[in-house]
Amino acid sequence: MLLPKFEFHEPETLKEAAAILSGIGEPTSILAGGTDLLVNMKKGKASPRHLVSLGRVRELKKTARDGESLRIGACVTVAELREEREIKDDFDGLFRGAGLLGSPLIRNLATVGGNIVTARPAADLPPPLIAYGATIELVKDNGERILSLEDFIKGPGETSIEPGEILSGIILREPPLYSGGGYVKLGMRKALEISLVNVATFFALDGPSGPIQKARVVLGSVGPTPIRSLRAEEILTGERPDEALFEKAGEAAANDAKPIDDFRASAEYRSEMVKLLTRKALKQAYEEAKLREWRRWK
Amino acid sequence: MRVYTTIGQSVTKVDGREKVTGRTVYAGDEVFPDLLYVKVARSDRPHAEILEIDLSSAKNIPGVVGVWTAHDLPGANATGTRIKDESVLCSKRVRRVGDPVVLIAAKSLRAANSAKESVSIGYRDLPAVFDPEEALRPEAPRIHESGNLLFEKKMIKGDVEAALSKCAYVITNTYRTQRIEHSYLEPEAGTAYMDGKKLTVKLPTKHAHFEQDELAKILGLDRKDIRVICAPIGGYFGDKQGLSPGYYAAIVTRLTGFPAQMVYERRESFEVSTKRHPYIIQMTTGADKEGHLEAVKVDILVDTGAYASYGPSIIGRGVVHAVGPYRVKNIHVKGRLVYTNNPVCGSMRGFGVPQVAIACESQMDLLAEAVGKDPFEIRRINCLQAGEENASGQTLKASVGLTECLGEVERIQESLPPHPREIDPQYLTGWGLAIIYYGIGLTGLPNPGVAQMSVEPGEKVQLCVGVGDGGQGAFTTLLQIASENLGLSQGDFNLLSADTLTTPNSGTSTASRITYVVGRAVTEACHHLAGQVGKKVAANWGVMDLVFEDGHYHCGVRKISFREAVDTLVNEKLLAEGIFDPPTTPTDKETGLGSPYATYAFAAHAAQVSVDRETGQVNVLRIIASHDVGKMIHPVHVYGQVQGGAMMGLGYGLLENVIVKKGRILNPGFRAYLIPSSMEVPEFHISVVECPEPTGPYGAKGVGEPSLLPTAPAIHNAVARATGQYLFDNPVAMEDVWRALS
Repeated sequence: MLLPKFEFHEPETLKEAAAILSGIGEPTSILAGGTDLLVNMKKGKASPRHLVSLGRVRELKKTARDGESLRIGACVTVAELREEREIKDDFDGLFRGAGLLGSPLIRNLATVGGNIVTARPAADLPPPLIAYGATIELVKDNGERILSLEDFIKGPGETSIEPGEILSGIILREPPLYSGGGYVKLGMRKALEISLVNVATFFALDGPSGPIQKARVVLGSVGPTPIRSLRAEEILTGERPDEALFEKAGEAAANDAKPIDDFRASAEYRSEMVKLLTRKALKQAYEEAKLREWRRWK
Repeated sequence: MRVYTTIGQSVTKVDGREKVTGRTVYAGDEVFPDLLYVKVARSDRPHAEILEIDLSSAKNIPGVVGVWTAHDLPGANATGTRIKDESVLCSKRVRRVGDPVVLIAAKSLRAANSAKESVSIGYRDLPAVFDPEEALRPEAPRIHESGNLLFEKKMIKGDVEAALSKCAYVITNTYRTQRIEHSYLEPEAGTAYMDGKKLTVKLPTKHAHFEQDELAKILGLDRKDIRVICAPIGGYFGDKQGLSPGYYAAIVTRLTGFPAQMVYERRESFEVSTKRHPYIIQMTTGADKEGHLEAVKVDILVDTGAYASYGPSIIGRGVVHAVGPYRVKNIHVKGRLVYTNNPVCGSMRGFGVPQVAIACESQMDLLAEAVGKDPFEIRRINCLQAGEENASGQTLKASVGLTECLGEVERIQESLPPHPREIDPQYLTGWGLAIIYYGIGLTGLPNPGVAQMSVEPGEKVQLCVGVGDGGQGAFTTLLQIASENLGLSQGDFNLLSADTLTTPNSGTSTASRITYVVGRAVTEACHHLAGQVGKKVAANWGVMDLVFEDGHYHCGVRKISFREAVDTLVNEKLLAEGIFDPPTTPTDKETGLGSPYATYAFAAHAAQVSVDRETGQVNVLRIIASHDVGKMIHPVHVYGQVQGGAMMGLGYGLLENVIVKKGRILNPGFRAYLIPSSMEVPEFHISVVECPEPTGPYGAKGVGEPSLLPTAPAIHNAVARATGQYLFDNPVAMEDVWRALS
C-alpha cells in the first residue's frame, strides 16, 4: 500500500509550526509518532494535502516539573514516558497505562499527545490522565488556551481542537500527600491489544487511612469517550477505603458505563468487567497511596 | 546404532543467510522497467446477478493500460484445485463478497487503484444462504447448478447402532469450530513476463506444475509455452495454490505482452484467500465399563463457502481421521460438504483434521471422567499399537510410537515443579491432554515424489525437485538426505527447485509429505546415481564386486570417494531419477475403508492453563509436546515445527476467529483478527520419539501438520479440568469461560 501524495513540512520550533499551520489553508494533518495517522493514510481513511511534522520541535519532547505540577511535552513518546522517574514514582496509573499501550515497537514511536488527539474510545492514556485531572495546552499562531482533557475529547476521533491548533503539552498537578492511582485493562491477548474495557482511578485521602477526600473513576472502551463515573466517585467520597467500598463503587461504575455488543464481547460481559476492573483499579490506587507514603518515610 | 554424518544434525539452513539479510527476492519484489500493476475489482455482494459493468471512467484514467471483463479472457473461465467451479472473472453472477469481476492493468499502482475504485458494477441481489444447515433445505437458493450439497463421504465399519445399545457408557455432544485465516507473513503475489516466446510466471506456490496446467487452460496456451517458477515462499500453511495474483498477472502479460505484477493487500488477502473450514460435528462415543471404545458415530457438516476449492479432499481426510488414533470396531462417520455464500474455505495446515481432533479428544476426556480413569489411562488402553487395525481397516505394520509419546508427556508432566499460578487464588489451573495421528501423503491417491540428479566432472552435483520451501526447511532437509547418501555436504550441491522448465513434478507441498515422499525420492535418485558412477569405477578398476558405503566405493583395500570417482569421468554427464510413490489403496466408495496412507505420524500434547476466576481469561502456561516423527533429519527444524505448530494450535484454540456476518468478514486484518503474539508463547517441553518408518528416508515421516493438531484439544481439556466445565465451541472464548464460571 502506498501513501497518498502530500506536501511535507518540518518546522523546528512550535512557533514556526503554528505559523505554517495557519498559512496553509488546505487539508492538513499534524504528524507526531505516525502510528495512527500513517496507517489511516495508507488505508485511504485520511488524505491530507499537507503534513506538518513535529519531529524536530525539541521543546515538545521535554518533561518538566515545577514543584506544583508536571508538564509532559506532547511529543514525548510512550516509551520515554515510562522512563520518567516522576511518572514511575507518583503517577502509577499513567505508568501502567503507558506500559499496556500497543507493543514495544509502537511505544517507541507513539506520542502522549497523539494518543490524546486521536480520541480512540479504547486508548490507554486518556483514562489515567483524566483520572489525574490533566489539563492540556493548545497553541496556535495567535495565542494559546488551556482546557481540561475531560472536556477536550468529544467522541470517537473527535476533539475540540480547532484548525491551526497544536496540542503542545499535558499538565498534571502534583498528586497530594496521601493519594494514588490505578489502571487496569482487559483484552484478549497480552500485547497489541485494543481494550475490551479499561478503568483508571485516582483518589486522595485526608490522612494515612482516609477518609477519601476526592476520587476520580474513568471508564474506557465502554462509551464514545472515556467516561467519568460520577456515581462511583460519589460513593467513594467521604468514606474510608476498603474492599467493600470498592465493590460498591464498581457496581455504581457499571451503571455509568454505556457498553455495546460487538463480535469481541457482549455488553453484558463488558458491564460486569467494568465492576471488576473498577474494584481492581481502586485497590491499586490504595496500594499506591500506601506505597508513596512509605517511600516518603524511608 | 548407525552413525550418520549429517542426518540428525542441525546443519545451517541453506536459504537462511539470504533471508535474514533481506536478499531473498519474493514474487512481489521483482522489478522491470515497463512493469504493469494489476488490480481486480471485486463483488461487494454475497450473491447477485451482474446487470451491467461500466468501465468508461476507469479506462480514462491516465496510466491505465487495460480494463477487462470475462469476455476479454484469452482462455477458459473456470478454475479450481479440485472442481472447476470458480470463475477467473465473473460474467453473470457473483456468489460471494470478493468475487473477481474486472481486471485492471496500469503503469502505476496509484492509477491501478483509482481505476479499481472507478469501476461501476450494477447488480441485482439474489437470495443468499449463509448457514450450512439452511443451505441443505430444499427451498434454499441454489448456489451452483449441481445443488448445495457438494460432496458426501462416509466411513462404515461393523454395526454402530447395535454396539452402542450394548455400551456401558454412551456420550454424545455437538461441537462447533470456526473459520480461521492462514496469516502468512507474505501476502499472495505474482509476477509474469515474456521470456522469448515463453510466458513466465513467478509466484509462491505449493505446486508449480499444477499452476502450469491450470494457467495453460486459462491463458489458452500450450503448457510448453508457459513456465512457472515457484518464487521464495513467505509462509503458506497449506494455502497458496490455484487462482491468485500470479494468474491475473499472467493474463495481463498474455493480453499486453508487458511484464505484470500483482500483490494482494492484506485486507484483500483476508477477504479472498481460503479459510480453515468451520465444522459442526455431532459425535457419539460408546465404551464398555472399563472404558474400552466399542463404537463411534460421527456426523460432520462442513460449510465450504461459495466454491469447492480443496473441500472434497479435506472432508475426505476429516472423515478418515474422525475417530482418532484409536482401536474401534464399530464406526459410522458421515461428512457432508455444503455450498453457502460465505467466504471460501480450503486447504490449511491440518487439512480437515484439527476440527475433528477437538471433538474426538474432548469425548475421550468425558469418557475418562465417566469411567473414572485418568486421561493418560483412557488413551493408553484404547490407542493404536503396531500390528493393529485403524478406523479405516488398515493394519499399521510399523512406526507406531503413540504409546511412547504418551509416556514421554506423562513423564515430563510429573517431573515439572508446580507453576506459581497453581497457588495464586486469582486463578484456576489445570492440565489437559490430547493425542492424534495423521496420515502422511495424499488420501488414498497416488502421489509420487520425483527427484532428478546429475553429475559431471568438476561440477557440483545437481539436485532437482519440484517443490518449494515454505520456510520449514524443506530444501535443507532434502540436501541432508542427498548428502548422507553420497557422502557429500550441502556445499557440494546445486539445488534446483519447483520450476516447470528445469525440475520434475514432485507433487504438491501438502499433507506433510515433502520429507517422507520427496525425501525418499531423493534417496532413490542417489542410489541410481551412485550405481551409475559405480559402474564406471568398476570398469576402471576391472572389478565386479564394488561396494558403495559411507560415500566411498570399496573393493578390497581399494577405496575412492564419490566425488573423486565423478571427477575421473571424462566429458561425461550422468543423470539419475528417483521416484517414490507411497503404497496406498483408495478408500472404498461405499464403506470408506482401505489403506489411505502408507504411514502415520503420532503425537501427544499436554497443555497447562490458568483461568482467571473473575474474567474467564485463559492463559496457556506450559505445553508438553511429544511427536513420533520416525527420524529427525534436522532437529532444530523439527523443534521449530513443533513450537510453531503448537502456537498455531494455541491461536486456533483460544483466539483466532474470522467473524462472518451475511457473507462479509467483519475483521479482515490483524487489528481485529487476533493471532498469538510473542507474549502468548508458553513454556515449552518437547520430546521427540523416533519410531522409524521402514519406507521413509532414514526412517523419517513428517511433522508439519501433526505439530498443531493436539494443541487446541489439549487446551479444551485443560480448561475443562480447571473449571469443571466443558465448552463445545472453538475457540474457547474468554466470555464463554466467564459465563461457564458464573
